[in-house]
Amino acid sequence: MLELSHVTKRFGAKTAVDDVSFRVPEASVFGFVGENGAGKTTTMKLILGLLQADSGEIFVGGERAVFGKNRTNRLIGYLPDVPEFYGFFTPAEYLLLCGEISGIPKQEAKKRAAEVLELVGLSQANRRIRGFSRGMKQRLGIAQALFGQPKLLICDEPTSALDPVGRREILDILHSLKGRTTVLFSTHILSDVERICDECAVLHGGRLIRQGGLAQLRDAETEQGFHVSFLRAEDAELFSQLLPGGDRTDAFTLEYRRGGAHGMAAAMEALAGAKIDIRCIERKERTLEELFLELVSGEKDKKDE
Amino acid sequence: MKTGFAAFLKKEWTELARSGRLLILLVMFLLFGIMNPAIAKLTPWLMEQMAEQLAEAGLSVSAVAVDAKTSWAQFYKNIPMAVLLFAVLFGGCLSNECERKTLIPLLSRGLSRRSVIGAKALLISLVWTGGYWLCFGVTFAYNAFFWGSEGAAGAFVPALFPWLFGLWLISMLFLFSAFARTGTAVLAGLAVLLICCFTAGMLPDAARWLPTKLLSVQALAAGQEETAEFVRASISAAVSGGLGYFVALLGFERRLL
Repeated sequence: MLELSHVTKRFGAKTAVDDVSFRVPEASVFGFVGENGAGKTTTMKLILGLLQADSGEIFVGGERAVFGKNRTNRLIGYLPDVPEFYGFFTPAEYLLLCGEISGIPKQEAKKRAAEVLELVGLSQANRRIRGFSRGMKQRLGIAQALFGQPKLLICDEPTSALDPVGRREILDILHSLKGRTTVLFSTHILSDVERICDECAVLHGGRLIRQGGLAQLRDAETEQGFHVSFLRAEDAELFSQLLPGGDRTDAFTLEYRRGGAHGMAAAMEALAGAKIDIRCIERKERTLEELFLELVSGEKDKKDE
Repeated sequence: MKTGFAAFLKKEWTELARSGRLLILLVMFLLFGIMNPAIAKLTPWLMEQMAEQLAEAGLSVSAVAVDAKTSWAQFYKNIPMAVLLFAVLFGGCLSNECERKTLIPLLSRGLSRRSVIGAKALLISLVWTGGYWLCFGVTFAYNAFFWGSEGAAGAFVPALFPWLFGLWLISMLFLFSAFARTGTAVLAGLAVLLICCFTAGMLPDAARWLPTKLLSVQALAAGQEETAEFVRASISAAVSGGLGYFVALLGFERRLL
């Protein structure tokens, strides 16, 4: 649905997006992860033709996106990070304007406006946008982005301005689009990505440092660890001598940061051999946040070298 | 693109009406229209009232004769002020939208940047045309009422030039708006341009070609100058106005939003 090929964008001496290439498969929810200033918004603006790339190509639905021309944008719904609207319109009037620009017949536009306003919980807000809170504007932003029934929905940090309830609602809306609309959404809230994304790309300092399915990303990096919880403190002590490399997180627990499946099998063998009774042995699932921090610190180390 | 243009034009109209700017403009042009004959009509009475004071100061006042020409002279004196107020009201029409990023959701759904400039320029030019000729019509009607319709036929042609000047200034407003970040910067650009024009206008050879010449029609309205004197300035206003829009469209297409 979306393909970026060796895209680079500089602002003066600063390279905001550095040779970024990735593909977003059709009908997937794709998370675009990176800290503030990593180049997420710049990349999105390049896709929308709002900025001109210094090099590289962008294809939306097989068509090339060109700066200043908005042809490919008919396939895209876009939610900016801080959406701004005309305060003198009501939400329904604003959506009808969007419909007219997109060439949607008036009756159809009215129907869709009612549907999307219902979806984002603004169907009762029949007053001018001027008095809306930030959260309400964000919801209206999603409504306008979905209004054109786009093939690709691009959301720039859609949840960062919202309270936990609002955030959950927005994530549920995005999740409900899975299989129908391709969603590309940027965020620095990693739990949001874990909750709804199929794939994600990690951007750091303008460079794409990883891309793939979430499970694949978690598994592919370093070997995962495990921890063993003992019933007696002396067993923990004994086992740390039998299988070195573990850290005592408390008197009863040993944590092995590396080792993967083989390490865990070896630990179970050692436990059985020594006939040590345990409370549990558990493989440690790495969170996306840990992975992200590892990747980013790894990149910083590389740079320092 | 056509649908985008019509939709954006409608949005511009709604904004003009709901922001109260249309009402302000209506009142402004009506007031300017009424003011011209009123000032002409009141001048003799005012002079009479002040005669005593003036006599004490050593000035003697003879009867002041006023007619439609006095009223038209007042009209052409006031029009530059109306043009300036008009420019101030619309100075931020494009740069404010860029600054507040309200255009982004619309551009990202296929509205062309040309439509943005086109719709705004068309509406503002129409509002200028409507307001200007309303002001003209009010002055014309009062003049006919007070002094009869004698010489009324000759009033129309001189009035064309300040109207053309307004259209030229609007094109310059868009030229600056395509590049400037704020409405204040646009107005500053217009101010510098007008100062340059007025300065260059001190050279008689250059003055004939400058669009600012289109504002000095008092002599033409009084029958002391020929219409042909304004042809060069009209041509240069039309050409530079067209060029202004051309450059504005090119510049705005490349502008980062």
